Amino acid sequence: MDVTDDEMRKAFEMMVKFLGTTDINTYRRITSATTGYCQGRACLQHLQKVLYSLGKSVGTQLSADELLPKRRAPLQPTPIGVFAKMPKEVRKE
Amino acid sequence: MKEIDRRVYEHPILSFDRGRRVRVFFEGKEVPAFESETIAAALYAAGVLQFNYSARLLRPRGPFCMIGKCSQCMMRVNGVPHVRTCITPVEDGMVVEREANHDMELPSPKEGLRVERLSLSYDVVVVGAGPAGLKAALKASDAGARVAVLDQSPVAGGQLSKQTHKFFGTKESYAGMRGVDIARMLVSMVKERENIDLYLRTQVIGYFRREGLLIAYQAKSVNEFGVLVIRAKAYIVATGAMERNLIFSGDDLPGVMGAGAAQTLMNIFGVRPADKPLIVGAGNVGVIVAYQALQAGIDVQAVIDIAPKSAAYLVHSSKIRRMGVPILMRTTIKEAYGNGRVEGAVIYEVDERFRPIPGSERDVEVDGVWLATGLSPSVELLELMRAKIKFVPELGGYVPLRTQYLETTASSVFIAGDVSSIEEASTAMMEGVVAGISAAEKVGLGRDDLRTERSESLRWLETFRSGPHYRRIKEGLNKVLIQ
Repeated sequence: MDVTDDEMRKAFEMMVKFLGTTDINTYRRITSATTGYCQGRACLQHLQKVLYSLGKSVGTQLSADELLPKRRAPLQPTPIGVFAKMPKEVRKE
Repeated sequence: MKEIDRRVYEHPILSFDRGRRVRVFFEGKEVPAFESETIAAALYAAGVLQFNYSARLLRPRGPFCMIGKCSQCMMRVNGVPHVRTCITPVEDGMVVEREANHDMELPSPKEGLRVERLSLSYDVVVVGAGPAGLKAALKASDAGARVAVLDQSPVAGGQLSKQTHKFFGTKESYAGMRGVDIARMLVSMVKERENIDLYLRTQVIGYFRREGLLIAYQAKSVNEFGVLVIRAKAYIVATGAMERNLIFSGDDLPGVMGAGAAQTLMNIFGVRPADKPLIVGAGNVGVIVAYQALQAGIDVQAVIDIAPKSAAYLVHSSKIRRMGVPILMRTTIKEAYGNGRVEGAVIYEVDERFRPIPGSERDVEVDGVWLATGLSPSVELLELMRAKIKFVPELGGYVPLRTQYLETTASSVFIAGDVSSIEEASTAMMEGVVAGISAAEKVGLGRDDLRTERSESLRWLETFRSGPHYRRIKEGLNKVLIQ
């Protein structure tokens, strides 16, 4: 998605102030960073750098493990009709 | 207006058999295309660099990776939105339109969507048909396993298919052969095997652990898909890597692309991505791509790198120096600019602490910026499979833990190639041998002669990695090896 550096910074400040967390998955939900079509293949490394340095600015040292976001299916952009043909056991997830 | 044709018709090494001419329409005009081309290649050949607009700020965007990973090549094709044009072959009569990425306009397909489901089961499923995946498939097949190989590209061979240089090493790693020929050979071997099914244009969208199902879908055209519901006894993940981008002003302008993307256009499709590119990164990838660009008749302006010393093998860097391409060290890019496409760039020099040197800024007239700034392993699928991932910068970033036989912490899930650590095609193929034999053994198809071959391959890897270039990688491998 299009997220500017300034927006990233502001979103982080808000997140720390109102939610009291530096969690990467929360941050992704707020900014929509890494949630575009490529699912962060291009921008995740930059998001991690930004979050790492912003974390440091509020005294939180984020580890490499904490900077690895939760991954979910679908891993690729998928036409909706494909989901309709998913087997039942997978569909209920 | 003169018709633009950026195809390469004379090349010292490659010949391009483009096949039958077909008609593709873009903005009401016919774009010349050939049946072996993807939509993206045909558009680039016609001088179209901008493929869509960004989601919110509507910035012009164009392809970055050309291998189906970055999604910046998405367009509306025959009314179907968000088609990845870099991995979709042209078809006669196709209508291609620019779209705003993430637009909310509903699909308006010329024909309805057709989807059918296939339930499949295999002994071993290999994800990725590059050097590692193909080798792994062949070895598992040697052991008698029923194997499927899945790849999202319409062309098997992965990054090997675009290597025009001769490989180093020993006869086991096909020394003296060009990558493109090795790829062709491995693909034809795979196709000959009766116990290997090769699924191209097939994207894996998820692995469902509780049910033990791998779900993928195969595109037959832009509106026709097969959903593959796959059960396998073992998996080999050989998904390769994604080129890293760099942050600078104008880094998303059409014409800024990965060096590997430029390679895809030049060496697979015979299309010049630019006439006067700037290459950022003077490691092996940067200088090899510069050399290949010269072969394709492209006037490379310079190869720049922020480091004080090039990490490339001397044979590769001296070759392009001899041909008059400057390699500027301690130099990096400040911005790329242009109206809808790259028309120039600003570069500057840095001191020993990477601070900009005042007054060193220079404007360079270029029409493309190719980034050879490293690769990140594509571990997404392994994460879904719950393989334990660790950050190891020496190996390229987040990589899975593995045993010496390349099994991850997820039982019966093996890895090979760049997804395990960023190295080269020869090590990828050797890891493929190890993973293929190990996966077959895991499903009860172990054989003494193959176990011997596996030991030899492990020794080969050990020797190959004992060189000074490999010190860092060896240190990294020690951090991810488990019992």
